[in-house]
Amino acid sequence: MGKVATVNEILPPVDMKSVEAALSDITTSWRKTTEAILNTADTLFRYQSSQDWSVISAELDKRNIIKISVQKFLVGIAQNPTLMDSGLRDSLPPHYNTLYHMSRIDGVKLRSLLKKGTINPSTLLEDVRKLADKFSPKKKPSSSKVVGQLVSATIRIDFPEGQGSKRQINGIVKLLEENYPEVNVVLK
Amino acid sequence: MNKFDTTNLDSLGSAVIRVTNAFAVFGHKKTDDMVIIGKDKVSKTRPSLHISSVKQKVTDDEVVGLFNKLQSLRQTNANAIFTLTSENIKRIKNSIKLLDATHVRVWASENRITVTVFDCRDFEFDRRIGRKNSLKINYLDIETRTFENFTFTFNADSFTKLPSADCNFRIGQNGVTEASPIDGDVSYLIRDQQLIEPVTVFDSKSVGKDIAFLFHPN
Repeated sequence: MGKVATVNEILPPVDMKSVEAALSDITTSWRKTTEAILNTADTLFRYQSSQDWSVISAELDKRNIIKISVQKFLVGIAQNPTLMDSGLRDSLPPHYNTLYHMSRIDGVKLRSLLKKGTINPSTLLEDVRKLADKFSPKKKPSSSKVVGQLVSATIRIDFPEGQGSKRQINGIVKLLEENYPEVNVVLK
Repeated sequence: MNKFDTTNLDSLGSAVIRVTNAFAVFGHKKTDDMVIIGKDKVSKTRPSLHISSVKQKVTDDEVVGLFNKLQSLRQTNANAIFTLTSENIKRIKNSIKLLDATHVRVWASENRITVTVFDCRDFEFDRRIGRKNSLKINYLDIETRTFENFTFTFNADSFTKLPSADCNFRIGQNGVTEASPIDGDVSYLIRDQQLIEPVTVFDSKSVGKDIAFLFHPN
């Protein structure tokens, strides 16, 4: 039987040089995972414009290479200019699902979160989902732009007399409240 | 999760085709520009065609031929590919409801996709003046990678039939767009309505550049 180690024995000192070499190897290899996901996403995105796409997609699924649902996630990633920015690749998590949910975050905010390190290679899917809920584009579909901290606006809308006016007003109020929860809507 | 219910396809459209492991549903009168194609989990299905829930007397080859014709609509080069998130689809649907819109147009504008929601009836001159209709157009910009300039106009009624889930759009060069929800094996093939909302333009460039505000005629 070999000698059993006890807590009192002094362990040999850690060779920091070899630790750094190991970290470097692992980091390089891990980053290649992100690179591979993004390259595959970009390749799928480019083939998706070809007329044979429906056949290519079905065959990838049928041959158990990439399921259709995963193909859609990857194409979603490839459409996002921030995620496809080669200068930001080292900051991205190496998971297609996490990357897809990042694509739901407003572009300017996503760039800022990556630069600040709030999102980094170790960020988990659940964290990105929370950020996507918080920072998804909130702009309502309208030509209006609000500038400044506090804005008061009076909107006058003339409805034709008769049925449907109340429904239209309620619809407008609902849309305002849904898209601008911080705005107080007062009907006069 | 937005799973597609294949148990009652007849309620989804005016006509239903079933072939082995797949189905197609043609839209109702207001959505006859749309066909839903999907995988059918019912195995060993004999080809069939139902119109208004009534089985039609057609041969297997005729049904399969029609289904293959539908599939061929997907075999086209794409002008653009983009994804609309569930939030954006909900916003567009809300906008359609609010404006009582007839059409939704998507088009490329400087590395972005712009979505405009409008009621084409408002731009009819007599109707606009007579009923004091507004010329309101709602729009939404989406940052994405685009291939080239394109424009595609959806029938608003068909757009509202899309599930409120993340959806991948492939704008085909044959005038058919394939919308596929991220989570599912279903595709919505929708035909271009080829309608563009009017925009305000100035006949004289020199006059136009000096105008900062355009006042409403009222």
